[in-house]
Amino acid sequence: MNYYSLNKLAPIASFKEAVVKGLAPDKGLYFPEHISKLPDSFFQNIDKLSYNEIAFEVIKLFVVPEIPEEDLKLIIEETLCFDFPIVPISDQISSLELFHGPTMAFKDVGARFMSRCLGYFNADNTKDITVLVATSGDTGGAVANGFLGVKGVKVVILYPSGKVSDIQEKQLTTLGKNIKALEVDGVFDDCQDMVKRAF
Amino acid sequence: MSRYGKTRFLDSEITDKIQITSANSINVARWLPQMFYFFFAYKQLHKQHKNIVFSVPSGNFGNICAGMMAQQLGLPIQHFIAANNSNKVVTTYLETEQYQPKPTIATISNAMDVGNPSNFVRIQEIYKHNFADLKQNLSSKSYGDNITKEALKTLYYDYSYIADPHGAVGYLAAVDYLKEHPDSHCVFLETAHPTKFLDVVEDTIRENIDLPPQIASVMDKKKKAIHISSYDELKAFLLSK
Repeated sequence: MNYYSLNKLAPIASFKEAVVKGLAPDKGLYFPEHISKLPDSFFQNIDKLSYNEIAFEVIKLFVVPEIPEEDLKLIIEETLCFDFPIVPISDQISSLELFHGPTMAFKDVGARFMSRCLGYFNADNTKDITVLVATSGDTGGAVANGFLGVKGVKVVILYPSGKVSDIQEKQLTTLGKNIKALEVDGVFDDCQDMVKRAF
Repeated sequence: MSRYGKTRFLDSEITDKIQITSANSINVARWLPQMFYFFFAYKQLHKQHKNIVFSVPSGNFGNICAGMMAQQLGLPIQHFIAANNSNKVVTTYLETEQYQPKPTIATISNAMDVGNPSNFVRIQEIYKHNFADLKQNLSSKSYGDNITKEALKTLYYDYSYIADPHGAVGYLAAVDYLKEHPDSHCVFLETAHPTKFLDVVEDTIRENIDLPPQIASVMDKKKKAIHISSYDELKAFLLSK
């Protein structure tokens, strides 16, 4: 799958380029060139499919062949190492709990998936990639945990001083190894602006 | 340059020296796998419920935008609700068609304290910048901290459910949506464990919550962070490595 920049002023990128660059050279967000519907049979059989099989069918269009099918299956298996229960609240309302992962936030899914994609793409590269991330609370911890110990990847996290909870701060400042935390005087948007400016 | 505006130049002093990428939800490898759990929810619910609606607590709008991609892949989702705290640029946009980024307001649901949500441009792209199509699929409501605390109490005292402040905002939007769409089943996303917002949740429901093992294991560790207050300090840090 190829990706284009929403600012329309950058070249088309492969999945690998989009992941490694993060943001297009014209500062636009990447967006997939094609979105096609899954076959009816997928929805008819969904009860028989495992979560890993569902995830594979959903994302392969966007990722294969740049990550081969077998490697993608492994990445999905490592990503989805926890549950996603639906808890009924009333007849009409349910809670979808996305907090059963290692840092107890929905972002564990994206962070684990991305870290493993980046690890795959950088496996035979001698130069480290630096992952720069701004967090308003939960992203930092999930990214720190997801990337901890991933070879060839350094992580720098920016968070707004005094504006994340104690637990969140601990989750993103205590891991060490390839993870560094920067405490910024400002709000989340200031952190995000700094990250965007550094590219 | 506005403090809240996007800076639009390439800092080649940094990019010449080190290879940088972002792990914010702007990265496609963080954004796209968030589609997964909309499918997982559907798998669990579709036999008992038709007309499934997702109420998504929204800050940077990555999660809800992933849900919309899932819908584009054919997942039968009736509607999306962007549940906002007091940072309500999208709520206002859907009411007025004016998209006006705002300085951030600090709230008890701090992961949604975003004044200029990055992923909203992707949502615009999904609906091909057609405001009528967007409004068909997306509605949005904004809730302040006081009513969010009331929702935490209602969920705990009436339904024995401990939510976190973000989930509580999602719950409020679900309740309001059902008033006008009683045939729907609303799923709100519980995006973080309530202990991650321990002070607010414990003060509000007046109960102590046990720390789950994932959280307890980091609480005794020592914080290590470098204080910075400007972009130049960030740059110096990156180039010094």
